[in-house]
Amino acid sequence: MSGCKHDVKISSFMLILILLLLIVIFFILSLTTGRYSFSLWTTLQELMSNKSGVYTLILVELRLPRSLVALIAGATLGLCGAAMQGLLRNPLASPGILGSSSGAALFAVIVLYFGFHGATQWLLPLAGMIGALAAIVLVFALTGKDSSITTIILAGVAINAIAAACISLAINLAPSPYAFRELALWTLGDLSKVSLPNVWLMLPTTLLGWGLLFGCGRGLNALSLGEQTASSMGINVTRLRWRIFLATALAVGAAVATVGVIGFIGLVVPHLLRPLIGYEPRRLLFVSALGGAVMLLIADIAVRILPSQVPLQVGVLTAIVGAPFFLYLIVQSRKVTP
Amino acid sequence: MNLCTDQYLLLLADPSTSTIVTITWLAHNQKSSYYFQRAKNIPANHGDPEEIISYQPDLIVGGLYSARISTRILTQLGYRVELFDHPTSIEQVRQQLRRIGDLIGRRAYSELIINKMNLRLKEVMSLPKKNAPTIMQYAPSGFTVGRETLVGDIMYHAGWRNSASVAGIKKTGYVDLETLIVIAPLALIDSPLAPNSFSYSEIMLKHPALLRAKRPKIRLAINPAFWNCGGPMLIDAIVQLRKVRESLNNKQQKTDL
Amino acid sequence: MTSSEILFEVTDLSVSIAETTIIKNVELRLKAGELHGLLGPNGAGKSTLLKAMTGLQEFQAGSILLRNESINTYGSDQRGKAIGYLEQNGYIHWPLKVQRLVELGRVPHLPTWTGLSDKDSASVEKALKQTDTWHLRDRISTTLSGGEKCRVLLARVFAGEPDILFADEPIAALDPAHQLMVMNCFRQFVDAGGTAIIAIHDLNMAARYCDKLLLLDKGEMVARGKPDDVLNEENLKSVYGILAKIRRDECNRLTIHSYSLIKN
Repeated sequence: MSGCKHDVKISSFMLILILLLLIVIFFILSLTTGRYSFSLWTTLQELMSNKSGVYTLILVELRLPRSLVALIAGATLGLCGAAMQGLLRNPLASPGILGSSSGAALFAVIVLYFGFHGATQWLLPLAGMIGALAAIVLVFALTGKDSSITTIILAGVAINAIAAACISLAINLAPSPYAFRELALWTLGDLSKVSLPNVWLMLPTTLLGWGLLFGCGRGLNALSLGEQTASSMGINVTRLRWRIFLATALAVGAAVATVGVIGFIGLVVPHLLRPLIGYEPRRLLFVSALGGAVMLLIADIAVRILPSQVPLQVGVLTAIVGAPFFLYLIVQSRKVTP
Repeated sequence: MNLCTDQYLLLLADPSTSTIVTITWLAHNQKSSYYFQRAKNIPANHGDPEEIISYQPDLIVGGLYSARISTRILTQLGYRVELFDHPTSIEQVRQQLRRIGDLIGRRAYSELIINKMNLRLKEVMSLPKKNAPTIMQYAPSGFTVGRETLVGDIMYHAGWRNSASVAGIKKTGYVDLETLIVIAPLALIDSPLAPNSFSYSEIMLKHPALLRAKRPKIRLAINPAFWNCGGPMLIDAIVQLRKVRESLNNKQQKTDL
Repeated sequence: MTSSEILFEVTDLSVSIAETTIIKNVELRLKAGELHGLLGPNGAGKSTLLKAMTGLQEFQAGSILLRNESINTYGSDQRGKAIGYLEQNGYIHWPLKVQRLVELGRVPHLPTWTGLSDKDSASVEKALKQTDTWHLRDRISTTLSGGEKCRVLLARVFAGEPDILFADEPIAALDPAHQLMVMNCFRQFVDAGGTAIIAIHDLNMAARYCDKLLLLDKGEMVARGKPDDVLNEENLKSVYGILAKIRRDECNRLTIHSYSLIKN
């Protein structure tokens, strides 16, 4: 049809290609980054010939799950950020800011530290999911239907504070004497302890959540024109909102229950990619998922490279980059809306 | 005002000459306090200066690094406060026993204890040979100890080589799972503190990578009350570690035959 | 479709919001080829009526028939295809390109996972040309002037190819030239066989462009019919509280002037 439409299509196709390439590059880098360096190629050959040595063990049982979880959790955060920003039509929304991450962490902490964990493994992502859903429903119950983004974010801040306090309390009351040292792990995220079973455990709810979110593109596009107009075009806005809440809870719950709260990816990634795809919420979903995966892979590699005596939390890094960005967004939004 | 100085007091103090008016709440804990039974009837404190003042003690002993603000306040208020570093070797345990003995007028008794301890030590100790088996303590989050710690010294006296030194750790430090698998000590000392509760740190010890690795072959647990603090009970830790090592030798000899 | 076909019918409609009655027993009939002007002072219930007819607002009593069938029997997609709704002061939340924004009008026609077909693209192009915004298609919609933005949003509605169009004060913020441009767009739309209601405050514009006028006061339809029948001094006095003189110009068009407030 028109020339301009074609340009955007090509560039968004290129963007997806570039992001996929970055994912491959950083995934391989993530597999080769660690305390010990060894040839990935020879180790893969060893693996193929069914020899198992120290390095194949490190590759398959430590670095592979770590890289996979970074990929999955990063994609979840990017995607959910994009969906929430589309839903609220505001670049300040994200799972971290609206409380769903900390809600998920709280429920996961309770299930883990108070011994419900041993009985059934899948209880953990489920708990994360319920926590995430509870938090976001609470935020929306507090703010009512047509409140401004400021009110919603304030409610998110309040829910975050409550959840953080309860996480602290739960961890301090936990029966294990080591639990109290693990607060930072939950509030700043940590990928160093994940194993392959974690990947299988988080995958079903994550995939379900992703599927539900990718199907929201049409509704989110229509919402660019406001809720009234979107409904007039046959979009059931209430159903869309609940679908996004539920899907976000499914995916974020699973991610947070596995790696703790990793902030700012859901905020920064969609915002950076939005101009590149012409601001269309539907197109933003997929590229944000890819971008989130790239960002978490990079952050987790950086955490391993940085010289530090004590194991460093990956959330520290994303917060150092993300928090100033959040402030920048606030200043920007103040300029735009009078 | 410190679990370890509490242990010294519980060991050395004689009720007829001096009274322990209060000890830390930790000293009542069966899992970490060796002399918890002697502590039974002594009221506990949580290191709060107001609590301590209410007992009007003549002498306060505490750790260099625990409840630092409280000990500073108590010093400023004119109390006699004696601070002890965490012992980093068996020799330092002896010195600290003498110092406590002097402070509470029980020097002779502390020498008696030290002599007994030395006799037992001579009996059970054997220093590691060049090809001695390797061991490493792996506490939650990958925390481990090197040669220059009490636990490290105890491993040494039990005839083990500590793998932490391979990772460049002299005092204390963190070792990630990758490093642990590469340096592959023969035996790993788990934390037995909380077997039925969850912590992420402990799940690390059940990580599939660790379970599938050929080494560490042996996982063992030492009662933390044996070597958390200084005292004659540390000999028990040496005995335990030595037994494990010798059973290993027997097995090896059998397989060699 | 024949020009006399009744596309939309409202009978005895009442709407309450939070126990306040906003719309009382309203009746109207929209025939193909007719442009309707919805008049009434601020707060008369014009917006609520349009929302209820679009399906955005629940109603307590009465019936709304779309092509002789209750609107409730239609799925939201079917309703979205049949009825185009132009929101009052429509806001564009992302700086989308005009082309993309107008493509959003095809949403009711596109299932979730499908992209634009050639037919969709043709409708979009037609809508852009109809509203004289074809030259703006590569511009960023949020940087447009008020008049341009209004036309682009109207193009979005046209792109959906509805038969029925409800527009809530589309020309309220426009300069005279843009007002005429937009009104011409509506005229073309109904001349092509559609039907439309526009809520409007400019009585001269309403008289000049609309086939029928609906006068709403405090939720009730006080007058309905040809502009000559609705726009009389008596009605303007009782509904708007103004004194007006109604004349005809040299082309025999109604003109309303000499407004002054009635003093108590």
